[in-house]
Amino acid sequence: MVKLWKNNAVLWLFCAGIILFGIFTNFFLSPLMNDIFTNGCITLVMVLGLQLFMGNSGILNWSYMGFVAIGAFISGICSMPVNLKEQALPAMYPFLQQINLPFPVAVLVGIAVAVLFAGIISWPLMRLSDSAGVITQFALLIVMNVILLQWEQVTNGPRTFTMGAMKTTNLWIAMFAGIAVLIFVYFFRETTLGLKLRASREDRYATLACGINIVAVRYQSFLISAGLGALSGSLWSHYILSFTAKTFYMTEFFMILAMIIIGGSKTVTGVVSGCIIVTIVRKSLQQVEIGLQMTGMTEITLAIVMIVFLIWRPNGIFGVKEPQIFNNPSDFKIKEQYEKTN
Amino acid sequence: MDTLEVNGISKNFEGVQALQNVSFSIQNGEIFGLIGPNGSGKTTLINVITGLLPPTAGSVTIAGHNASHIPPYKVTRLGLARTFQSIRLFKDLTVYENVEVGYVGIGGKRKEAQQRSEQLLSEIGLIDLKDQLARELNFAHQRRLEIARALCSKPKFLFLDEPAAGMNETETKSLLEYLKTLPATKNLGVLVVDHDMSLIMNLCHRIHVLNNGTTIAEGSPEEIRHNPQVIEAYLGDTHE
Amino acid sequence: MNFNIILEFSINTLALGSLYALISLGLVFVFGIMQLVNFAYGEYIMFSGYLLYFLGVFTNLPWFLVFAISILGGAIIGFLSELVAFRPFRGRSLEALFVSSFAVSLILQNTAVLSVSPRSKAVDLPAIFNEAVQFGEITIPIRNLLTIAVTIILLVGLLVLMKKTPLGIAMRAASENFPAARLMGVPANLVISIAFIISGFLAGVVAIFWSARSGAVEPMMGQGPLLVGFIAVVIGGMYSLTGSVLGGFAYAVLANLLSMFLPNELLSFRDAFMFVIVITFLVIRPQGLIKGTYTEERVG
Repeated sequence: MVKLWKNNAVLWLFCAGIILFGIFTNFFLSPLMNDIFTNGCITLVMVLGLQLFMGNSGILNWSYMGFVAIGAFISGICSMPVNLKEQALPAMYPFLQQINLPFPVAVLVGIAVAVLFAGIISWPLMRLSDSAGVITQFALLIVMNVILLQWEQVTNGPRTFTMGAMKTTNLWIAMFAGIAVLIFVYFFRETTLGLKLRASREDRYATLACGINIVAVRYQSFLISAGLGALSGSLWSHYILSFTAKTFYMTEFFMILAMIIIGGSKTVTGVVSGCIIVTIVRKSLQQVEIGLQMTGMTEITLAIVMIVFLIWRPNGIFGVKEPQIFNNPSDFKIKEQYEKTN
Repeated sequence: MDTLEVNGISKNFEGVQALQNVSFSIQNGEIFGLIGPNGSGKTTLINVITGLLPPTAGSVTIAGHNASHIPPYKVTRLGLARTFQSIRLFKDLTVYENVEVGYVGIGGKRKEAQQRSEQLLSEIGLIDLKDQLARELNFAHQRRLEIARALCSKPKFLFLDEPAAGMNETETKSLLEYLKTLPATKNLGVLVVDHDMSLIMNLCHRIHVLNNGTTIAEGSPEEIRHNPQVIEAYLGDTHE
Repeated sequence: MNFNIILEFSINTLALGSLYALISLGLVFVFGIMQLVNFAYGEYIMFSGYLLYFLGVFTNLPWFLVFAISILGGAIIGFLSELVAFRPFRGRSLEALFVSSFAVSLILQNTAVLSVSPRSKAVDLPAIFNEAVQFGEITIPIRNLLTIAVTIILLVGLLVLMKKTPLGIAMRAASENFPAARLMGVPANLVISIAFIISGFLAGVVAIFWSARSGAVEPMMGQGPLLVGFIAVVIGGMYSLTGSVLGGFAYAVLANLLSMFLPNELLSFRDAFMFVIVITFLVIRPQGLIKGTYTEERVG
């Protein structure tokens, strides 16, 4: 049991840090900081969901944002009061207007629909690697986006989907979700599924030679990732309360991609750090943008930073192994023995 | 008694006949050598048997089960493990994790994989490096790691594709000693492909010789050494 | 059906197909050699489009000079982007290249937003682009005829380049088997740079005809052609130049037919249909209609 604490000390440190900061922010800091923190936790869930698949499989799943969108819309539809839907979203299918479920159930339904859709559509995609894989994922995103953008009776089409004035997601819910997903995605790496997926990232042929059905492994992981994406979408929709399909598209994907690249795609600690860094940079730059009237500066800066990191530090800040505090093999001892046996 | 049977394997690549009617069988407990000049089709044959390529004709059975025209991961699960000529390790996984994958891959549980990994790494002499990333190992250690990973799946048959390539004399000798013990200690049959003639002659019980995709000889090391067709095939290609 | 309507439809579809063929050719040049899906390609088009806008609206240069400079601009931005954002990744993982091309695309888009305006700007084109010509009972916009003519000229030119010149042969060798080509003395940097220059050049030409259709330029204008290019390349064949051209025409025919025959409620989903077709192709026949000559890595 002690091993559980020692081996994963950095993880627990992060969790404690997030909890403490959350408590501090809630009682002592401004509404703006509360907003940033809550947003940050929701984004953390989103980026972790992406990392679970992309970081461990090496496949860029562009389509991820589509599942975030599904979670957002479906959970919103399920949780909104009936009369609010009839007023604000008159074009919606009556049977959808009549649904009214408590928030947690609505979130679960959102996740279920996303996972179901992923389950039906993604199996053939999992055999594609390299360029064909990337293009297909991209194409899938476009398909999902167009459908969500045009299907008036479900998403209000290109018009804003408004969910009323009451934010259901608050700081505590976001924080709890963030911590829970952080722990989940961290330990996913160490499960048999996680290990197999990570192997498939390193060398496809060797993975096959080890008896692993890569398609099945990718498929299961993709579904989990889609579910987490839908979860983050549900939290987000119940926070920002008005959005369209365009909200869950390229720009936001780019942001979480930047977090993964800068922090390091192969480790969870890397992704968390990336999330913190990019959130800070983004919020600061946005203030500058407004002040100097220079829209677009945030994206340009982050894009340049991303390219720089890709060139010089492709494994991000933390590299490929989760950092250890207590169990670092004594490098000197290893080096000694290594040289002796050679 | 487990047998791996290769029956009349032919492989045609859009007009190029890479393999023609190759047949042999490997028994549990023996070390079987596969040799031939460069381009004779050895690696293609291995890729066909391990399922990476479908044969144009012929079949493979492993311990009585059909092993042809099935995906490579299923071939492994029938009890055939392999190493690669160009060393295919999981570079950014640790040495420990690399070996674990060997067991987890065929459906094993992580806990047991960890135990087996410890044991195999100790046997093969890499236990002190277990937390290093595979990419940090030197060449000879990487080859050993690949073998450990293959052994972790408790295979009935082990295919080694140029296991000593790039090693110096001492390393090769040490590997040779270790490989000799495998059929008995691990209860398996081994197939070795290599260009190092002294390694092959020293290690193998039987040798099968390919040239231009067809079999030109099969027999004991002594027989092969004196076979005129083999000598002719290697003219200009000797490694002794 | 009325013969005239069919003729009109055919010619206009031919024009659209020509445009799409040019778009997909631009993508395939880079893809063939580097297996890179260049997300920034759309922005090469946008860049040329904006040059067109600035030169056309703010200067008095003669049209052929305006066009020449815009097209040259496209070629240059293609060349520069390779130097800065793709060359450092040579030999690295494909994901890094994709992410990099995505980043470049965003940088260029936002630079346009930042330096000009997030809103669209009307382009000034020679009057001839807005006129139409009468052939008996059918009306054909002149720009469609121009598109077809320019495409034919460029296709012939590229064909000659690829089949008859040493450079073209080197490029084809590089796209079939890059490492082997290098070993045989093909200068990697030169070949790749030329591929990007041609890609940017084609983007410049596309920019002229694309903005002629919409009458304006805006920061996101590259997205439309990019998606077209994706679809055309996948359907026609990712590893073959003729394939990509075919794909362009096939897409134009398919898109126009869908527009004509889809029930009204489903019309807005037309793009979704197109991409579902893309996905289907990738899953069932990833090499597209025309199989190319790319050899995958040998396993050993």
